[in-house]
Amino acid sequence: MIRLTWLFAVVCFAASVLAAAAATPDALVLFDPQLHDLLSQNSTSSLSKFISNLELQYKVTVKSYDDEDIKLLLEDDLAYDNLVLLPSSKKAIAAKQAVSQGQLLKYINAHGNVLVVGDATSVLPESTRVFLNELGIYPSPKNFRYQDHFHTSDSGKVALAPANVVAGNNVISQLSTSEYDGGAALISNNELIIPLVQSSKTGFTAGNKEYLDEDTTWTFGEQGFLAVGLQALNNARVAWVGSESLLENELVQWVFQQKGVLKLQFVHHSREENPAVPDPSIYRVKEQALYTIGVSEWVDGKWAPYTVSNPENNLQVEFKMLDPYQRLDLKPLGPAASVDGLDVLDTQVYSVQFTVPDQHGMFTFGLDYKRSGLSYLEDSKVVTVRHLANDEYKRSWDITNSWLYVASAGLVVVAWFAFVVNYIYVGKTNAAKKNI
Amino acid sequence: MAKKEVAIKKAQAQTGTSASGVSGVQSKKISNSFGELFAAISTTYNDYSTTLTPRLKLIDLFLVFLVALGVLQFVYVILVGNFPFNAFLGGFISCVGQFVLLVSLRLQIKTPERSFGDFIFASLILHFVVYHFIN
Repeated sequence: MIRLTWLFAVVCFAASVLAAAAATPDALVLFDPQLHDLLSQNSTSSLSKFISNLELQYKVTVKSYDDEDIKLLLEDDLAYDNLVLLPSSKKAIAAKQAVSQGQLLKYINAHGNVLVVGDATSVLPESTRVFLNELGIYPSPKNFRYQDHFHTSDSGKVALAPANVVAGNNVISQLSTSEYDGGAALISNNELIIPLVQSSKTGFTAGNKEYLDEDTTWTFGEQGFLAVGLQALNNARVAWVGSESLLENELVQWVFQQKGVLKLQFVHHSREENPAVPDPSIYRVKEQALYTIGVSEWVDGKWAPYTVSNPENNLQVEFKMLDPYQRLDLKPLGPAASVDGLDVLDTQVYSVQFTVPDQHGMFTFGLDYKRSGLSYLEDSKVVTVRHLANDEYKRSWDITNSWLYVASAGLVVVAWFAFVVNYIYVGKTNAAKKNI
Repeated sequence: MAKKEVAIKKAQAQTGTSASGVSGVQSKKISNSFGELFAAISTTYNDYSTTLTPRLKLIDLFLVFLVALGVLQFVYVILVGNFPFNAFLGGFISCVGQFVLLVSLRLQIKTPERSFGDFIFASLILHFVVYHFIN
């Protein structure tokens, strides 16, 4: 509890302020009027329901791919926080300048989030497809349909089981729909990609042909994915789903930065013996160091303490100089206020105590938390580790091993003194008698 | 020293003649040569104690003491390990250094005042350094 007390005392102003009750985020939905009728009020398609659900939480703008006035970016700022790209009937769209591949990349570089919805019977605009390919997601072409003759529902569509959800993705835990009618994607080994829904072993993606060969198929077995996420290094999020039926609420929340969003509120380290002095710049070898961080999670529009649910997602700290000398799991201490004087306990404090290695040099407290589906947390603090000062070593008589040596050195001195005295004495008495 | 060597040679010569003189039982031969050896040692010892000055004897006694102490520390460091290595070096070097200085004194015994002064001065420096090195 002493630690918590000092935390309250020193929680720094550098940790950015509690996210204000932010303005409603906005979203732009781009669609093809030839495929979907989203602008009329009495539309009852599932996409219209999706959009009206979105409107509960976001300021939604719906525009057609034919609208040439679309602007994703205003100068370098986002015009919309989130972007939804629906299927198109043709590859070439009128707004190809505004929604070009380059503009989409700029958009995610400016922390925009992109949700791409695929379809078995239509295409994605060429720029969107190239953009996804560049990220390492390769959706199946038009008229390629994901099929699985061993898992078929009564209506003749593919039946999805809970096993299709990729374990540990931290984005979607279960599917609300059990039927699937759409395409599938191949993915590259891009490590930022988060596979969400995977094909079963017996599933494949093929065109409407009587026979299967390399030209009429796209994926075989577990190499196919029905929903794929991606979190860029700046925490911008992209997702592709093979069918609008996979537009799970969880997934949309994740893409639009409402779920799985973490924030590092503060990072401190100190000597164990003197925790009231935070972030000392110098440590001594073999000292006890204490490393403490506060992590919040964005829940229902405000920051809340982040609790690690799964040991695989444990927070870890590295104490490293080129190599990590220590790599330790951080243990939760309890909720605390991220800013001094705040009434709300909005952050979870994680901490670990360890022994500074017996090696002097420039060390880094490194936090590098990259788990699929969760915001990346990174921090590094450089400190000096010094060796023992001249007067910090043990004296020889404190070490029992050396007693013999100390005693014998003393004995030599004593014997030497006795020798000198005797030598003079013996010399005086016998000098006359003896000739040498 | 010269007298001692002469005594040893004499003893060896005696052993040789007696060995050539005796023909027959092996054990008798061996016990005889042991007797000769002891006789040689006692002759040497007597010679040593009668001819050497007390100063030389004192120096030799101190030399033996230093060797014994050095051997003791060396055995100890092998058995226990060299953890406070500076302490071992300090203790051991004080023995070795004192030994060297003492031998120098013994060699220069013909100029007693000068050599003894040098000896005391050098020993003081040695013990000063050892004291600080042992920490």
